[in-house]
Amino acid sequence: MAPNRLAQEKSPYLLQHANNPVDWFPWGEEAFEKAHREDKPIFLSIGYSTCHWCHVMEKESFEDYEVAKLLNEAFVCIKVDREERPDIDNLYMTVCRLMTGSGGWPLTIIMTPDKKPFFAATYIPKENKFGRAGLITLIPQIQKLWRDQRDDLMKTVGQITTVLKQISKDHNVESLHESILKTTYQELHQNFDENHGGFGNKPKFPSPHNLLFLLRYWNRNNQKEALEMVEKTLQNMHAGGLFDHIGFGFHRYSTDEKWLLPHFEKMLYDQAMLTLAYTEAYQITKNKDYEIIAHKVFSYILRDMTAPDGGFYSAEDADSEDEEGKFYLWTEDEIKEVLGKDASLIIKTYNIQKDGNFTEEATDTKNNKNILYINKRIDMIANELGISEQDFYSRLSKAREKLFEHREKRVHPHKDDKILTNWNGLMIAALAKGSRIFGEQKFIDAAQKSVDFILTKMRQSDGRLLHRYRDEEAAIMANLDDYAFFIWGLIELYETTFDVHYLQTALDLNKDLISYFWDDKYDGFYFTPDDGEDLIIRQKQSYDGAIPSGNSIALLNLIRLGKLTANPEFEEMASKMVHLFASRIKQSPTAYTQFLIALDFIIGPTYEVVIVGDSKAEDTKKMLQALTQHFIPNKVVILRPQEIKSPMIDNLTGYTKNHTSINRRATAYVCANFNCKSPTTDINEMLTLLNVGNTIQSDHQAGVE
Amino acid sequence: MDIKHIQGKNRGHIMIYALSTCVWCKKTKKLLNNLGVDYYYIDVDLLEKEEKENAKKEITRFNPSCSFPTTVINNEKCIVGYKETEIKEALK
Repeated sequence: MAPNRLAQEKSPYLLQHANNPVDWFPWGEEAFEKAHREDKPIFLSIGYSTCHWCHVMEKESFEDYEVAKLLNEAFVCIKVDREERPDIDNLYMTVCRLMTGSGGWPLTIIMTPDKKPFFAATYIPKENKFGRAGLITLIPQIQKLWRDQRDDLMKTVGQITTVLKQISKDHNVESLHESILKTTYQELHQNFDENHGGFGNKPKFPSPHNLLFLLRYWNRNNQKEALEMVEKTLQNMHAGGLFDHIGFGFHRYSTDEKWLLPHFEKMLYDQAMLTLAYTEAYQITKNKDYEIIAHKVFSYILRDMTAPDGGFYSAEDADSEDEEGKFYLWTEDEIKEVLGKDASLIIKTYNIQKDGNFTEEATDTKNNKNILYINKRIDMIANELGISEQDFYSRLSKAREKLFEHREKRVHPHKDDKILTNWNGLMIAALAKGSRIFGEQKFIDAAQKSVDFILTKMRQSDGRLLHRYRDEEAAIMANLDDYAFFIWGLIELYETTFDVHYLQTALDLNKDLISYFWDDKYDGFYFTPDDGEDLIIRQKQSYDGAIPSGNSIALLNLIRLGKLTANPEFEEMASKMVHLFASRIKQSPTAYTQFLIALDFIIGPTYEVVIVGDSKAEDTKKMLQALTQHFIPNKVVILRPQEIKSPMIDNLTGYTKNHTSINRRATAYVCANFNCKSPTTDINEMLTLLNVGNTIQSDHQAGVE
Repeated sequence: MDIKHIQGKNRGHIMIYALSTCVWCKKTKKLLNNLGVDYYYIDVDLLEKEEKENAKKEITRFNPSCSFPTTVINNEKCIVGYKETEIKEALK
């Protein structure tokens, strides 16, 4: 059988379906014309390459000749990679939530040749099962409706389109006050799992922006419990099977409340947002464990997820050799075979059992397989084994390396090696911040290489950003997330390297973002540019799901760029955004924790710090280091290098020209909440002006090698 | 002491204690310029040592944290920082 049209695509997910008997089309005019010409509805299937149930539906139905025949007869079939086309995914996911009350992937939409939906579902089995109608039953029914009851169907279409348009016009202007932070904290507190950390019931997602919010809440109100919630979650997520103890990095989510049995895919954005959470927790507590965990995740990214020319890959699949998690699981015998007499160390530390240490989700039985996890303190294990902690760590580390080498020989899960601007932006931000706090040059190098890659390979000739790169082709107009996350990365990189070009680029891209995405009438940023593809509506999103929303990050960027360059226009826009999204946020604040992180910044106190000094001199470095050692989230930092006569930064800020050092020593100019203090050369005085208290030491719990 | 005078509509005696380097001080001056009101200002950082100490003492009378800009109206009302609405309100 000849491959279908998806064989011409770049997306690994689309390529996976190129040999299906279903006559798939990529999203595009060819498919819509065919649907019009043949008067057939469109069967739109949206998923992504590391999605477990997408694979299940493919194996069961899209590779099945009977189903394929039905689909090909009744519909024109389109496959979309949600990571390539988040605009399409967002829109039809909204439709699915509206029509069915829930959503998820694979997403299945049936719609008119004009792209107007009338049926929505997620995973659909082949035959009727789990109380769901199967495709075999469903397809002929829909075909019949389309043929015999078109008028009724079109009424549904009209209603859905109207509701969609109404939702997108949601512009109740209200205001948000500091009290919303407390409400959010209380809701998170109520949902907090006191036993295992994290929020809500299973499945449990890491939701790192909840943790970042709580750290700010702790900082603002000295609310000890907020920090305790974060620490408990961070420690348990790492101790559990959610963390890959052999090769590092976090899996996507846990199927149980204990963080034990994960879905094994690894997403770039989770690695980025989680390392930010561990990095900030380290900044506050100085607990070395968090530093080690952040280092491990970064080392995984640099080892396995970085393209030779600098971009970061998107994800790794859960399945290998057709089994979920096979790559990551171990039998006791295997461990004994690889490690010999050292096996007992791993068996004890990671709770390995002969018959397996977990029950499979589908079959509810043990199968001799083990997920590595920790459930007691390292010093206790060392004690049980009768060795010192130091000895324990060094042996554990050697054993881990042996297991890693052994595992490398296994068939690896599929890697989705497309490079996405939005997710790269998050990783750039994480690496830049991580390197600033941990002082690690190789993290800066990696962030800079990714920035260079995007700026040289992922832009149109007119400078507009693109969304996706793979197989030497950059394509798809950038969306709000691409701009917002990448600008965030650039700002973090400026505050780490003080290379003015990053700030300049951030400002240039922010200008593009405003001109192509800002809604002049009702404020806020649309997800798609004003010259992008025409879908039913242009959506404006602010929900912080697995990934923070573009509007939340763009809001934070506006405030930071506004303060860095003393540009009140940006701050006005920020204030308008708060008003626009206020009513949604009041309804369910915990769904907007990244947005509320930006609000926390706006409420302040906020600080603008200009350090003037010789950028190579020890005293300047010390002053900058002092700033990174403390958790002061709501500040911007500028370096004005004294050794250059008229440094480029003066052109961008417009206010640093007269900032000179006192007696040629590194000098800090601190402004707080719209007023400024006399400059100082004394680091402690600078910190006092920034209102920094003492750091807290946290208890070492699980312990990390 | 090097006190600068900007002429304009009389809305009482207005004195801004400022730093030449401070972005919020510049914005405050600019706001008053735009409002066209009569005011005085001192860039404290440009003063000689002794005068600087005297100026700081004066400021501390109104604003113990000695931050800039400190805007003093009729020797009694004091507005610390660039507070656009508050300043406009006070100068009505």
